[in-house]
Amino acid sequence: MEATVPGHADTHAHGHPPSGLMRWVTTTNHKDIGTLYLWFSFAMFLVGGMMALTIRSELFQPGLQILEPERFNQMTTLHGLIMVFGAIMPAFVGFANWMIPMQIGASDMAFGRMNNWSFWLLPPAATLLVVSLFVPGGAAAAGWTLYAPLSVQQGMGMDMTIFAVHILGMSSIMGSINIITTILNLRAPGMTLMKMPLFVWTWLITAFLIIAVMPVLAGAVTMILTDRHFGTSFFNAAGGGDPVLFQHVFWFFGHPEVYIVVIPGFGVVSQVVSAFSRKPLFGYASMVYATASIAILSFFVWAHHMYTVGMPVGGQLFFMYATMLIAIPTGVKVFNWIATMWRGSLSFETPMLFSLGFIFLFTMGGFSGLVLAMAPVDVQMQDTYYVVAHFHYTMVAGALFSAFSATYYWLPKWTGHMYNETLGKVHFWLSLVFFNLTFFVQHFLGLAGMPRRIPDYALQFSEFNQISTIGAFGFGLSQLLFLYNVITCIRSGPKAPAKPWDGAEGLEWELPSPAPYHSWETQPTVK
Amino acid sequence: MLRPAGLLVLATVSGWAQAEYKLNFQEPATKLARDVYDLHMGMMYICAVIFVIVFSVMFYSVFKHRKSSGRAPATFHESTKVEILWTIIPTVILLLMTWPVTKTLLQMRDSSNAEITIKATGYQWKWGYDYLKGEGEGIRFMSVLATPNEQIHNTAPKGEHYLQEVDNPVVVPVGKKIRVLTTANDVIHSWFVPAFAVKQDAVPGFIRDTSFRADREGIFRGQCAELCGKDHAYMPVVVEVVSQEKYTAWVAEQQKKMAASAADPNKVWTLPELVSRGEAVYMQNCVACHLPTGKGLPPVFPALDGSKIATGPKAGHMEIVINGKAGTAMAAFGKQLSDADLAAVVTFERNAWGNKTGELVQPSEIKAARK
Amino acid sequence: MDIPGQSPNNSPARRTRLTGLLLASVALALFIGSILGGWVSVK
Repeated sequence: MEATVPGHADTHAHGHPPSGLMRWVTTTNHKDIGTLYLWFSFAMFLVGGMMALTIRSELFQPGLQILEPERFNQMTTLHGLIMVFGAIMPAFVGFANWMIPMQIGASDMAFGRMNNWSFWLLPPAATLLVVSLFVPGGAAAAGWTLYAPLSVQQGMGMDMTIFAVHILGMSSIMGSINIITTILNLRAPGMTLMKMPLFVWTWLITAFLIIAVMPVLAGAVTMILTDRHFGTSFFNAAGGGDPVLFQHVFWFFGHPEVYIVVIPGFGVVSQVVSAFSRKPLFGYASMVYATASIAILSFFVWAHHMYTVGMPVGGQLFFMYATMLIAIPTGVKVFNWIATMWRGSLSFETPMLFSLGFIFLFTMGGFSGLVLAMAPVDVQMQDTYYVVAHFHYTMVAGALFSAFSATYYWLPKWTGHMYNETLGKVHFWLSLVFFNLTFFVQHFLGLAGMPRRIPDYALQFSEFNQISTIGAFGFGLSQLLFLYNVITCIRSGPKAPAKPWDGAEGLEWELPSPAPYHSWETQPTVK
Repeated sequence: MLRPAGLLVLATVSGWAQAEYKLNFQEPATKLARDVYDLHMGMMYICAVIFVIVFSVMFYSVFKHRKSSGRAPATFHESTKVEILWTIIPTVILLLMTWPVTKTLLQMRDSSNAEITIKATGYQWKWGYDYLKGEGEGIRFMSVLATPNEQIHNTAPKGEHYLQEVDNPVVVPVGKKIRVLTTANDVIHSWFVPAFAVKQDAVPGFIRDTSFRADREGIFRGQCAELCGKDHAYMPVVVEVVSQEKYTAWVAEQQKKMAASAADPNKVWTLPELVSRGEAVYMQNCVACHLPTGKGLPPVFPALDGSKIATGPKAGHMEIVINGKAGTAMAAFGKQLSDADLAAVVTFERNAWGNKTGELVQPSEIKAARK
Repeated sequence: MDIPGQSPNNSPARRTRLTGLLLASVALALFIGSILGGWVSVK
């Protein structure tokens, strides 16, 4: 894809930059690497999406129609791993790479070569996961949460998954080191921390979360690996261990992980809502503190994923109270977004539609999260479709919608062309309707007692499963409109000015569209 | 304009709540389940009110503050007063929720003074029950999915209780406090009965507990609620709550059955007797992995038809069935089945499909091999 | 990493490298620590 071609009028003395395939393999340019991340993440989104449609096809009716139960479990496991680690996280790292240097007035990321490695670790990891479907015994089938002892029991697909998780973790950690170092050290003169765009703030906070918890995930899967092959008994009672230890270590990673997935999205929404309200973000400092509070609190709530393991009631109470606390800063953010809109001058181009959709639907996910936080009620919901509904509201209508918002918002800057606005709006409305059709009914399935991770179910769950499957196919097909719009925008379309959105603020809008291959070679001064 | 809209939403939501359980929890059968139901309804009302208020404001803004109306945008962008207000109000709402939730949780976790204690053991892929204390003490049985394979594979129409029926349900008397201890034989399972608001993970190597007191008779169906491998969807929990008199009668009947099947340890069985009993045991315990055809799903579930173990020395065959195979899904059936059943199933496997050893195994040989 | 107008041995570039090294050490310590912590808790 040609955002910009490396210019030969560069003042840099690095000879002829490579072209063709080698350009992409050896690049240390943040825009190229951002582009690689974004295409990779979209490809993984389609792969994970096809797995979702396979799952929903099997669930269209009770009985086994297309998958044997073990294959079904492999699908649910890989769908989760691919969407979280292959689609959503790389998408936001792609936005970070493209936008952070431009937004802080830096010419590139702090560690260019490490940036290249961070990306190129991803395709081998993804290959390991997909290929594991075809080895003897098939892929890992313990759910993306990989609980022991089930994960210790499985075939070589589990070893491939563990290896892939290590590689993905290293990629994220290196990327985060780069992001923190860049933000802390390379800001343009005059850009104090409290003048940074909120997208940069949210990524700064997220990067700290990643460095804190990805190594812990690596520890957890390493312990599974040694239990499997090297005679340890971390998770085996007969050897003095405890299966629940895995859950504690995993969720200590797992809860901050869900904030890693959504906090950069908060940053995008803050910027987009402000731009299309033509009004400064309400309560900038408050938004920074609220995001930091959410991040810090996220370390204290992990066992709300484990209310039914049999922990002492005091433990349940602590984690319940801590989880309820997170609702407060999250609420503050929602109120601040609405206050930003209030008495602004609103227009509803596609980026704004997706951000508004985020606010509406992520908040619904927040409500189901609050219900789940209540331990005695959670006992009914744990491991049922209510939980599945909750996290798809926060991760799809949340993180994914904010990723769409970001893409439409910044496409003109990356490509130099405007995308097709009508098609963008159609993409939004179809996604909104089909998303809700797919996942709203799953709340009822959970309430009625339908467990997760089952390929087959009792007859009373039939109607809502059918509706959900139809919604899923509609949602999946709608994403092809997005693909078409993006490709068309790259290749052609009306020329985009430096600032296509009249309410937008930020250094990136002072650069031409498309942004030059090397930008801010001379740092701007921020007043 | 907001008030009628809000009332309409509440009316709709409560209409749904009254509807059959398809939109809400199952009909509660214990006081605790009723409390959980009410707690959830309370939370839904609070969330609905907050939702309506917050999004009325947002949609008002969407309509009234459009650029096309021509008004210039305001410029305000902070207010400490307002920030404090919308931090304090949610905090107060959460604090108000705290006491009812805490009270219900404390009640839920109190399993003291139970009248009957039952241990539920999760296996891949069925439940085993041991009545440990109280009336019925000593009764033990396995509880296996009763839905026929043909229904699962769509060659026969599905019955009313598809996937939620078992051969031997748990039977308890109404109105008595029942303590349920959970554990597992292999991986983590979870014992879940929605009508009782009971869900307790079954962790191998550890014992957890929960309790319930059913306040009406009936049959209550639940499922395993922790992914435990291939047939996680196929190991339901069924609890039959009966009157005290029916319970006492059931206990007597179970004790008689157990005495009968314990069988005369000195009886010498014939080959046809063993094969026919063994086929029944095989169909209940082994087909999930090794299939009715004995062909299995290699390499994970080896074929028994033509297998070296099933046609080779009897000792090796008995050993693997009694003790399982570490590091694989092959469970130690010595812990689950009686000597007679083990002898029968081994004999069956050695004489079924293409296997024609002509050999048989007596229950006394199993007993001797159990060291 | 060449920021225009700066030479490799001066303070900002060195600070940049040290930040990176510090963060990498934290990650490594957490990895080892989580396994050690797990081991200690089941001893």
